[in-house]
Amino acid sequence: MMANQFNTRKVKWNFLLFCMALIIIILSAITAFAQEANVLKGKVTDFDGNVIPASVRSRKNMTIVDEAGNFTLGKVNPGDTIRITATGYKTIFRIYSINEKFISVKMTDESQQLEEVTVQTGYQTLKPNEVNGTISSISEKALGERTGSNILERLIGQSSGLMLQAGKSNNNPQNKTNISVRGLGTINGPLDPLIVLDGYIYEGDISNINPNDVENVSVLKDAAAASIWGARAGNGVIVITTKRGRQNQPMQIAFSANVLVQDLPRFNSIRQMNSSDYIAFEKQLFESGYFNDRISTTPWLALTPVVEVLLARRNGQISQSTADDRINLLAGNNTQQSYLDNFYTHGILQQYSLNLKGGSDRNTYLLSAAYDQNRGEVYNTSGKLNLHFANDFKVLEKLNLSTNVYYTNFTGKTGRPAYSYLSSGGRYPPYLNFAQTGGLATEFRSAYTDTLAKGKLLDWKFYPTEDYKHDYTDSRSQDLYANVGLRYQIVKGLNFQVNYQYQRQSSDTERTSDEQSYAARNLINSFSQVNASTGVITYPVPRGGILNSSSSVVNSQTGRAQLNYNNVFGLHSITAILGAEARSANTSSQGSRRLGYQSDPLYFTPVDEVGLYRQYLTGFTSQISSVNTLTQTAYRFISTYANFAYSFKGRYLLSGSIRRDGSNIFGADINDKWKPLWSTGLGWKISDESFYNLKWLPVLRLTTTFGYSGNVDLTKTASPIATYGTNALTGFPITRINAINNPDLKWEQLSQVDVKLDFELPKQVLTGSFSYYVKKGTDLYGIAGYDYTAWGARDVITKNVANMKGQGIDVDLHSKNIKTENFSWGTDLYFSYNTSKTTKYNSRNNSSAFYNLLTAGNVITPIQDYPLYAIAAYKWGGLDNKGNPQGFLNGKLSTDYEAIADESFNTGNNVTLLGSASPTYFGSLINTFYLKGFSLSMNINYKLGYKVRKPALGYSMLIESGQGNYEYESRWQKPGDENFTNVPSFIYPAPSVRDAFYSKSEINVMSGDHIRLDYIRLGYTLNTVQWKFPFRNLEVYAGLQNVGILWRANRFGYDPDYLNVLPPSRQLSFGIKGAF
Amino acid sequence: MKKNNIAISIVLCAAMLLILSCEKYLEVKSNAKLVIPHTLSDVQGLLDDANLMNLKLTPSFGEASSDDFFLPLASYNALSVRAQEAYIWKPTAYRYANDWSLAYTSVFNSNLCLELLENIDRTSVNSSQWDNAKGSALFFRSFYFLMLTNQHGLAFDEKTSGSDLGIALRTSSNFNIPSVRSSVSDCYQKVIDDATLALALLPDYPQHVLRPSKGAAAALLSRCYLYHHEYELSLKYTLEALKFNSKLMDYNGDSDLLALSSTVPIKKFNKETIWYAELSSNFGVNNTTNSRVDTTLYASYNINDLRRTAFFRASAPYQQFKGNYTASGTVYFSGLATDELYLTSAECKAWLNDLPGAMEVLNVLLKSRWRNTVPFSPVTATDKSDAIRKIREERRKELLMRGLRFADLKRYNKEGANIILQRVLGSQVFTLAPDSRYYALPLPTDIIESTGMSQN
Repeated sequence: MMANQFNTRKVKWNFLLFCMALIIIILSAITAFAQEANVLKGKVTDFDGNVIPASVRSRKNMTIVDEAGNFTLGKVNPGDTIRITATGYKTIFRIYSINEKFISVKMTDESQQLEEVTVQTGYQTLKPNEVNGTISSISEKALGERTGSNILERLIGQSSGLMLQAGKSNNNPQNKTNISVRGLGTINGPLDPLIVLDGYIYEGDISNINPNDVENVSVLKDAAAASIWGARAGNGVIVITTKRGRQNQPMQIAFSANVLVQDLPRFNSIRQMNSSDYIAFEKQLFESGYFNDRISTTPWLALTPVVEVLLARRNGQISQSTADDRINLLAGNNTQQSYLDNFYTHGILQQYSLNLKGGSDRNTYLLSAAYDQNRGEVYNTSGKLNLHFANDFKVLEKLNLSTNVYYTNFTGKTGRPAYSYLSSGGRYPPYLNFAQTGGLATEFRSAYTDTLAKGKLLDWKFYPTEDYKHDYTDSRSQDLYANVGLRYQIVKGLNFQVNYQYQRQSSDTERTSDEQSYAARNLINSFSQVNASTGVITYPVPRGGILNSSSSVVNSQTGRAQLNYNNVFGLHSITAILGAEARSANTSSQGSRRLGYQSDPLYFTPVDEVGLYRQYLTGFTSQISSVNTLTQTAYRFISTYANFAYSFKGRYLLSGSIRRDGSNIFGADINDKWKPLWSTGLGWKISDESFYNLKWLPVLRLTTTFGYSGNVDLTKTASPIATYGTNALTGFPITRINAINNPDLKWEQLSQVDVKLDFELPKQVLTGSFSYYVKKGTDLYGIAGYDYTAWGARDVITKNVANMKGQGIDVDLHSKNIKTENFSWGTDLYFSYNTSKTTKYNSRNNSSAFYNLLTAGNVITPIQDYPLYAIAAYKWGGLDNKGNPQGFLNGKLSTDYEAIADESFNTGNNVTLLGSASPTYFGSLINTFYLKGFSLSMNINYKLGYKVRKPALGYSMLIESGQGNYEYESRWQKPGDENFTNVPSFIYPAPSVRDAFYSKSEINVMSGDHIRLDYIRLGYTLNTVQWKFPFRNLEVYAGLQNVGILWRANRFGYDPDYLNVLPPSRQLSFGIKGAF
Repeated sequence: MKKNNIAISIVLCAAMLLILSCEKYLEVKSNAKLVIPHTLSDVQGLLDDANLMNLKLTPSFGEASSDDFFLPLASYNALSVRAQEAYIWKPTAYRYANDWSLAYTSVFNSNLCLELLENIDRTSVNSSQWDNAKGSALFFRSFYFLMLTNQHGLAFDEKTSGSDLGIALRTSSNFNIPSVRSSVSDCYQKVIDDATLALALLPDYPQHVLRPSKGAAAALLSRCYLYHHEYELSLKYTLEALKFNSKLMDYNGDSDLLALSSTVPIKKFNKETIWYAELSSNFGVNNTTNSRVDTTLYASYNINDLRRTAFFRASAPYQQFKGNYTASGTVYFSGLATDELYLTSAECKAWLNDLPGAMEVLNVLLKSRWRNTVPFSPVTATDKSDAIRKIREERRKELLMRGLRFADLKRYNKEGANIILQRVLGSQVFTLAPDSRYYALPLPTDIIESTGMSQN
């Protein structure tokens, strides 16, 4: 509670400091030095010459135009910025020069501004009509809709085709983001889209990028757009572009500050067994003798509190009434509540940012700083500082130098135990109270450990509410990302550029377990050697704490040389690039553990890591294992690439790209190191044709593209590879073969066809696009069975053997439903349809297809002709009159679960395919309202057309690991119950095959369809003109994120994205942002 | 225009340089720990990788099928279907991972080492390391060939073993060579050939008992010749092995023993261990927590036999085994040790009609296990068959849970011992007839599928 208050106070202080800083900056801006003043006259119209009600402002003065569109503005100084604004028109800035007496300004309709959206491919900045590829550009405004510290979180729901694969847990390499672009393109390969920051592949931690520094995110979806990134673009490319200054732009200072308050976790999403049921169950288990073996053969292993009471009663140590009292007391506890009371709080994230940008005709600059401070929901803390400097400088008329430096410093510290971290004797009772005295028996029984060695050992108890103070992890990371480029104009339209990018991200983590921590006491005690006759204790693990430290450094460098050509010859225009780049990415890491550690004075004790010592409790002998690690990897790529677009009359656009990549990760054969990937596209603006006369559809453009991109798993290799290590028992160096030579290994290839139609209704009331695509993955990594008599370490080897196919539709619609002077309502609708299936795969065994799909759908299960994520389940025959679940055997009801499993394995006749386990329809609906400066937006996400398997009660799991399920309440208990319930009866012993049948039966598979309200955001933009604020703009806003599910198809109340895990908590945000 | 030409030239030169340096740039190793093995120390490193050469790798399907233990019904019910089938001697369709894959991983390492050694010159400087590497590779391969043959082949029989199917004798690391089953005779012959070669190459004593030595190779030959019914040769190599190490732990007090009643009283790498290996935990049938010691076997230990305390722990109403040479309650020892040599020596001597010699050796072993406060009465034999019977009884009592019993059973039955094995599960009783073909345990189903070799 104290800590809570303290932190709240800290938030206030930070906010105050920030406001003060702001005021100082504002004042200094206002008290700008005065200079000799002039009078400026002018006229403002739109492009058709119509007068519009515009206001004209200088730094000190403002006026509005008269009925003829004329204005007179006094007291202007040379160098002042004149700003002309009008509702619905694009704001114009002019720098006033002394010679000007009259200016004539034509303002463009704000809607025209949309045309000026640029798309970034990382190699080029283009206008949408200059590309055939399918690229979604997400603007700064859309990125600002959500608040938070991770840029990727802000993309979800702001584009079609982009999905967060919630709840999927593939072991695939490079699967950190869980974001998929247009579904899957691989089976066993990397799943992450490629992330590009300011033109270069970003290998660092994505959360290092401050969202406030981002100006635009482009998602390259089809092969034509992505193939320029070659061998690693198979999963799509996300191109992040940070803010920069612009030429001839007066200095702008923009700031933002916001606070995000997180709600307490919603534990009701994880429905545990109630305490009294659980206790009754434990009693039953105890009486049936389940714990006897554990108690007699391993008397030191922890038992749950109830079993401890029952045991004490059985041993006659306590009376029946004491036992009942103690159990009743326990029944009143609630583990989830105890987590909330002791470990959880409202997380608070504060974010501040400030940036300066501007430019002259020779120079543009940007300087920004941002600071995030976070106190998470389990009191974990972190701080992140970002500094960004970007500069463009015309060294000579034809030579341009650009630099960009991005620096991040992050520090973090772990907090208290998170939900489900703590267990009692490996079990998870719902009646734990962490604050109770005497600690929690997590691993060992204190009734046993207290009696050892005449009490001379260290205290062996675990204290949940204390331990985190003595056992915590600090992490630090620093990320420097810099690039520098020189561009030289050789002749008009042709220029040459060289660029160099450097990144170094170092991170350190240190887990300190001081001498009071359980981890340290446990290790010391385990190895303590007690001399039975003298009672003297020696400590092979020295007394003191433990320091586990690890650090890693990621270094990447890219050098690039590129020729750019842009030219227009009458009706023809050509854009082309030709380039080559070399890239290296090196990582190195090390880890070590120091024992007997103390921080003040700094000290540790070396230990014997080879000798064998007797473990105090088990009597087994073992080594004080060494945990020193050292790794180093170096990946290198060389690429050459070319890209061109030829446009005729601006109506026909032919484009193409080719790229060739080489890499050191592919083995012996040079032909496999180099792989050309290409794409081509054709665009046709039908609406420009003379025969086209649909007045209601003024813009219609058809594009079609085809191309190849690649996917490469950086961990795969073709060489016969061994690693070195050390054998722990002998200390001898060892060599171990990890993969047998597969000289045929190549990278995966992905082709994609895309047909897209862009359209616009008059006045852009409705704009949008439809696209249809087909993806084909060939040469995908797959496993092929082989005779493992040759080498038994694997029964399969990885080859380029698998194929998959995906297809889908992406629809983007933007409508202006109502637009008046004071009120507007706009809707953005994103809709995606995506399916994928395996078209070729060598199954590792000869079991039926359906048998292999008896999964929870969380991992990709490649079965030919079925979706990559799919769920099949046993046909369900209800409960019999003894409460046994019934399946089918040879078409008849049966409870012979082994035979049922065998039939499913052999023929699959008693299994039914229920469908895709990944949403086939998904997207979002964003509605935005404006009313006199107020804006209100809300995003509704939907995921439809898929199945999930709900958590089911498994008695064998309940018996063995004490993990229950609320279904227990409604289990079959007496004949007749089978008419009301599907939950099987409890029998002891509980055969695991019976549980497995039940959990994998169709009764437990449900529709995952749901609609979710992702966020609501309310903003108010101050009319700075009217209020005479010295701001260009100023907005205050509040938002609510992760609001919750609006509709779900399942009747159990489950959140299909978060089954049995905590869903992200609701977040309330407040903020202010502006510029002057 | 001139300026432009210069610029273009620079671009072209840069491009040329880039292309020329490409190949070199891509030759860098992608992981500094990765290596394509080629040196003598790489070879030794492959052989020193105990996790792939010694630990938890020795075939255990036979042990799971043996009669030294049984499962209470509850333990049986908790097993997987495959393990249950293995327990009741029902041919089970088991797949990867298994004894086969584990043993052949070591065989691959051995084969790879032998191939790599062909490209490494043996010089006067490296000769001892080179010999040790070659001898070790041969030793490991022949050990696993022997243990697999004992498990998947029928017992040796001079008349039929030339046509009885044994295992696949793979002698190359090339995975494109198809696997073919050789005859049981050929399998034993291969083991003998390789082990004999190894004996000549290996050092007298190893740097660590995880490494093979002359003693280990001789002990392996002693074991192999015993199963091959060549008692003279078996005895010869037994005595050869005992020359290097004939120590026995004295159960009345020994630096390698803790209190006999403790959970794991016997230390790892103790003085009896000649070469260290561990049994795989393939089916999990006979793991210590599930299984209980055969009640008649337990009853056969005299109350003053210290092994009764050292080897067993009560888990009422039965006994659990804890007499492993692995210092672990859960991992079984399967290497070569001196106690086995004493028993082999005794048995061979008995076969060769040296009854006093046989009993003398046997009694040396038994005395070391006997409570020294109680007078030890030596075992005596009335005739050859009585001697062999008594020696085999003691062999069972000393070498239980070492991965030898099943092969011994088939050997005894081949001689006509007529031992009928029984499994009792509630009211159900399963038996294994002495002449059952099942004594050649089935190969993994997926291996049969992928190679087309014939199943047992």
